[in-house]
Amino acid sequence: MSRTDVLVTADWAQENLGTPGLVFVEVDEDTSAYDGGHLEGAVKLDWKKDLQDPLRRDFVDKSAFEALLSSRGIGNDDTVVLYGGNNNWFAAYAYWYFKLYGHQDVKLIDGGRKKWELDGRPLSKDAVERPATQYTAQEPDLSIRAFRDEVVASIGSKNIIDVRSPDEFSGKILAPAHLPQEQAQKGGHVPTAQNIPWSKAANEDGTFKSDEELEKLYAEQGFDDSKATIAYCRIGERSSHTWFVLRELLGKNDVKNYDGSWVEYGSLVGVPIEK
Amino acid sequence: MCGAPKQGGGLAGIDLSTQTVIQGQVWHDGAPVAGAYVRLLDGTGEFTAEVVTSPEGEFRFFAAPGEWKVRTLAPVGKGERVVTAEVGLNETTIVIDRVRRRPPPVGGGGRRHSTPGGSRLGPASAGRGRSSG
Repeated sequence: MSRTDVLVTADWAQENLGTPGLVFVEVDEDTSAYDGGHLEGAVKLDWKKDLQDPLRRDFVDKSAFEALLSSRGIGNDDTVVLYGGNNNWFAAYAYWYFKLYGHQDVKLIDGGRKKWELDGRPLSKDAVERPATQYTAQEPDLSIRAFRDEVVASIGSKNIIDVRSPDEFSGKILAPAHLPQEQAQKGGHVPTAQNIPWSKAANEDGTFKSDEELEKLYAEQGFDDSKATIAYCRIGERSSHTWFVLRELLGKNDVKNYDGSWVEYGSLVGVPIEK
Repeated sequence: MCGAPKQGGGLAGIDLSTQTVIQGQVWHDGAPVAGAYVRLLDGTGEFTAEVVTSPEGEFRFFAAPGEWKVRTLAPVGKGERVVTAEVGLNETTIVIDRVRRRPPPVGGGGRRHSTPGGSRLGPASAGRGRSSG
């Protein structure tokens, strides 16, 4: 696995729009961006409506994921090329999610929607319809997903990476600052967690930093290569961005995303919190 | 649960006795800039949030009292502003200075103040602050 296996440039994406066997997928929470203009031929996934269980706080299950991909016209043999807004946060989440359900060939467009827009590349408003498929998912690969008990048990032993902003890590604010700051959970972070914000791994245009810069960043922050790693944020999408960097770009072993993240951890009764 | 706040619009429903709101507009060459990326950086210069401006060039953050930097990145250029925020409403305008750019292709239309995709949102809707974080 190397960078070119999992990450494509905007140039590559633009040259390959419409190539058979490639399915471009835009992933956002608010799909008004897609609806107002998207990559030619790209289908959309709504982070909340399509990828979250409508009742419980969890993923959609295997059969619902199969039905979703089948209805979007994504086949098991297709190469899925993901991109989205918010510096690819939700696209990285979808990448992790596709991997969890065993999709073989998934890639991210470096810089996502932001770089595409800043470059002035073409967007289309045409409706996209693909013939339905019969998609078959694998059982969830839990080697890349952490749950709360494992996080608590990992305090002081694993690399626990809190990828939120320093002000969220310290408890000064409870959510990224584009959201109102009224939340039920306590402020702070998991004891022994290192604060390595996701944003340090990205350039201002949303592209990932080079492998050399990324290796240097984590080494300087005290990342221990000999330990397993759990990344978390508030709801698990920014930590998917860091999971992508650590596991897919840098090839670190045993990296999990804790998608319960601070919204869950900061609401648990009795768990230790540092501030 | 997680709202995806639209940029711009009224402050109804926002408790300004507890919230520290930093909001304003991005301007360039005498007009608001739609579709500009605006990020909020903390006192150490670290990323805290990012939104995309509404058709009227508006952005809004929910921060905390203290010093912040608001930086914008758009196809027409960059601009930034330091804001010392207090609880309540803090308003600011970021101006992207003129930069020398290649003239638009003949007959191509400059699209100076729009996003590359054109006006993706109708006038009734605002910009994108889309995510729960």
